[in-house]
Amino acid sequence: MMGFKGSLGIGFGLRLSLAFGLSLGIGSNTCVALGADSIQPQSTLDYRELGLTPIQSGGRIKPLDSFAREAVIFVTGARSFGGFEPLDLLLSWVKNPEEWKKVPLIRIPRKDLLKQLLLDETRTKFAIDELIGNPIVIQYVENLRGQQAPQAAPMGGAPQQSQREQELRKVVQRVDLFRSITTGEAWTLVPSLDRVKPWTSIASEKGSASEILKGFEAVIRAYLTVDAPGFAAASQGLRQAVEKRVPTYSDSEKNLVALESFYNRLRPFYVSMAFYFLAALLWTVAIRLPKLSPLAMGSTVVALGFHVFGFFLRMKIAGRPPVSNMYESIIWVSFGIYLFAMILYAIHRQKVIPAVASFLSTFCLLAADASPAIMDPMIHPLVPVLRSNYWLTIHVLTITLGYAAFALSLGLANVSLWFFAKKSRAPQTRQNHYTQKITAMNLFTYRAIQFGVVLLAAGTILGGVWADYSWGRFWGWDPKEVWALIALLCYVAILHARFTGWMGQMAFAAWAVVAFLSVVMAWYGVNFVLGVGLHSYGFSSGGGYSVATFCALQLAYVGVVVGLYRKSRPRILFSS
Amino acid sequence: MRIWKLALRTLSSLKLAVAVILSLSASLATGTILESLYDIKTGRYWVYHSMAFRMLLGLLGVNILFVALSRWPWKRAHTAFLLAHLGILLLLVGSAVTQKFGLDGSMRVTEGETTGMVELDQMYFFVRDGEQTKVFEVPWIPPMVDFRPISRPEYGLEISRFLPHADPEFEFSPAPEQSKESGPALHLRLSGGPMRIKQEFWLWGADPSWSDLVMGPARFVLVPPGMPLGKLRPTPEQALLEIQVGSRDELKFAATSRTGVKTSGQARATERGGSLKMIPGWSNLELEVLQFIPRAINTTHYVSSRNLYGDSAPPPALFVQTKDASAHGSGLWLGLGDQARMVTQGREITIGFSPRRIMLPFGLNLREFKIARYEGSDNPASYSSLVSVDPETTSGRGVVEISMNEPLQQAGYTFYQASYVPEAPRPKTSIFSVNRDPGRSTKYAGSLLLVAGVILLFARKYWLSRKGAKG
Repeated sequence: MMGFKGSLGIGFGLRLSLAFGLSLGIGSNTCVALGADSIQPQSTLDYRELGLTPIQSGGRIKPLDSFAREAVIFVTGARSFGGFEPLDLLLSWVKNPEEWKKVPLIRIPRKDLLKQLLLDETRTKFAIDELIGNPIVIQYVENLRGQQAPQAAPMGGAPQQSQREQELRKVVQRVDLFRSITTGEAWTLVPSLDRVKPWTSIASEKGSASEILKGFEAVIRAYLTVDAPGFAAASQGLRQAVEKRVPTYSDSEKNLVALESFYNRLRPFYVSMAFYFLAALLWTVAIRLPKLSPLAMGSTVVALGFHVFGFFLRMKIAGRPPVSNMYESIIWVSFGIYLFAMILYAIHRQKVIPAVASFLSTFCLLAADASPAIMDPMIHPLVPVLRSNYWLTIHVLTITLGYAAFALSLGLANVSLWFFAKKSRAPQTRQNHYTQKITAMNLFTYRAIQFGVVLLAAGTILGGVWADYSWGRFWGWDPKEVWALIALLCYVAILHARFTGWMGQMAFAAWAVVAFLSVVMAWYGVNFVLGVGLHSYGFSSGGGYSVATFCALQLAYVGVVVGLYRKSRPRILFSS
Repeated sequence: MRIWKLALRTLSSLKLAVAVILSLSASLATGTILESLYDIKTGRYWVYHSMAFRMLLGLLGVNILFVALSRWPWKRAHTAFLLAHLGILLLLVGSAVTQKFGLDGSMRVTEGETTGMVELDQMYFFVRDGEQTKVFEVPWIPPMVDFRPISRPEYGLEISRFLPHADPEFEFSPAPEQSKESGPALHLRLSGGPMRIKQEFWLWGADPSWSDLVMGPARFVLVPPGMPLGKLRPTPEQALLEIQVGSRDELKFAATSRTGVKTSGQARATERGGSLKMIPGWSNLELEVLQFIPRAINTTHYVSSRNLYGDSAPPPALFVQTKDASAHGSGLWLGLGDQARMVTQGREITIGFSPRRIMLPFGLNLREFKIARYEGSDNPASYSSLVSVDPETTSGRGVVEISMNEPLQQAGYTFYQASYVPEAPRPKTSIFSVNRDPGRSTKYAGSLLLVAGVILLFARKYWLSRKGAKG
């Protein structure tokens, strides 16, 4: 979701200067004296108080904690760097920029870009010094200087850039964000008197009268001397100084900032993932050992509890349902998977269903958590088309619930294929046993597909209703809606083929797995691979290899199982 | 009889249904890939609006119809199945109605103005012969397809070339005797300065957009004869050079530097050029006259743009050729929005190339365009337009606000806030999408039936399977 930032200019503005320098009045001499060993985490300090300080950045007021997390993700591409807490890392940059410029901080994931920049292609992380001295980067910045800042396109339609160029732009933005953090320009902590006007940065604050500047300097001084009580007091001082200057700063806004900081620290979806994983193991064992069922259920309830609590917090902070980007949709889908699994479990009482769902949810949440550079976990304001709209919310939630049902069907069909593989090796006496299991798994798969078809059909139509309502066009051949339709058609084809009886159990399970690739395309591919159309607010890049690997593994698995099974009984596959 | 039965069996077969569904999926996927590789227009040309795709959709409709009929006589057990399939049929019919009779265009209004003109996606070629105007649709074709010439023998004309994305190239040449739109033309070169620029450009007196140009650090104005020189004020950012062609084709100029230093002088220039070198106070900028034509006309040619895809690609152009033997097959280029006079079959006609435009029976008056931004950023949070319907008698509701998700309905048309023209310090021109959709209710009914039918279908299956398991 960094593409969101890039294309809309939300986030960190591109300042086209690569000159560094500590313009704060705090001893740069001290930094030099500290030397290379000074870039160590200061874990004895407590950053919570400082993290509660409000800052205006990316179009809203947020806790400094969020700002620091966003900055760390944006610059380094990871949630944390070398054991530093996000704020610790930012302060360390301020303290010793010269040393940090030698540290490989910036991730460049694209090989073609590395080739263009004449950098070592075997590495992925590069130091700022390597980049600011790079002649191609310098030339690119020179070229940008000649252009005006791109106007935010009102509805999609941003000028197209190649993904490589977008990445280069991002590299420059990363270097620039690092630079502006070290100079103080990025710390927009000084509220303006008019609520609508942008806050100004600490670097532009002058004079000894400024309490905010004094507070900030006190924080830095306490950080330099690693003075824990002093740091706590200075943090509180800074926070109060900023809060005092925000015009009409209500208690509810203040609470929201605190809530966001709490949400950042709690990482509810991460906790939830851990419990889903535990539940997955417990449910799997419980298939053989029914005594463990209550424990498995307990773990599930805790996982779901954190999941729902996380949703609640996120909605409260953002003031909208979680439908705006890939991260949020994965979180929602993993919830949906469990929703349908619980319905099926309530009907069929088969432990394999929650076991599969737990693995799937764990996998989804893990994927969402693992790559913050690709799927931005932070909360950003919405583009105009997405704001305050009932139908929008409904249609996105419905479609993604449909994806969730298909994801569940994918998991169940994979288990069915697993039994086919076992069956192909099993002795004659065990054949019936596996046939029964396969029949059961296929029935669950079928049910999950039914949920998916209803929801995807309804969601796609609701998308039409929304488009009609806000743009006057029920259907506009937008790639996102077209791929949702393709996915729907694929599953509908399966249902019809199953109905006529052309598909045996094996073919049904195999096609149920293959059909999910159309969902992958609709969900991920349109935004990350095709990258065109009106849904451009959800565009990004990256993760292509992982997703392609996933698809390839799935196809290979289907191929192997079908091969095994066919070998064991040559004529059964196509009989009905 | 047998052949009918076979046809009926085929048309109502599930095999056909699955085959159609899979072909549809494949075509749709192709469409999205084409859009990604090229642009949406290319995707529409090859897939979404192509005859083959429409026939496929038609086949789907026929298939569904026959499947439904083949269950005749219908029983209660068929309800869910019929609802779902009738829903799809209605969706298809509704879409066809929208496609055939609907209207989907855009309208731009600037604050304080009133307009009822809607611009559509189609392009028209028109011929005005005396009082009579005839219009012909020009189909859009993507760059990779060869254009088949469109012949209009009744006017002795042929549209022989079409460029979907064309860049204009201008050529100035001495005007023939009877030419009306002529004026002095100067081909200039600006070079030197601290940034070592080198710019060549034309100034042409017959058209205001050609006679007042800003080029790099300076503004160049070709002042009409008779007007005094040195009346214009330079800005701190731009130096100013005024040029005037005197009565004996001599060039007079008056330059004002950014700091306000004035110089003036005269120079002679001919077809082969002349020199106005070294203008004092212009930080070593050098201006050279490369060519001077006292009475010039401007002929526009179009060449295929290098920028062929996407929103930033330029609009199309076409080349019209006279098939008149006397005119020796001469012709001219028309860009989208251009018109020109042409002599064919011994008389003068006007031809033009324009987007299809429709005048609504009423107009919209834009009172105010409002834009709100996210705090501390340039990113729009929302925008809306305050409009009133003109004439007022038709609506009687005064000033209404059209915002992102709050359209205005008026006399069967719906106006949506689609976009705006970005301008500093604040945008003043609002862009609405205008829409009339007679297929809407059919589509909505179809949607409702489809979803209800599918839910019923699955619920019934579930219920039956439960009953089967128990019994």
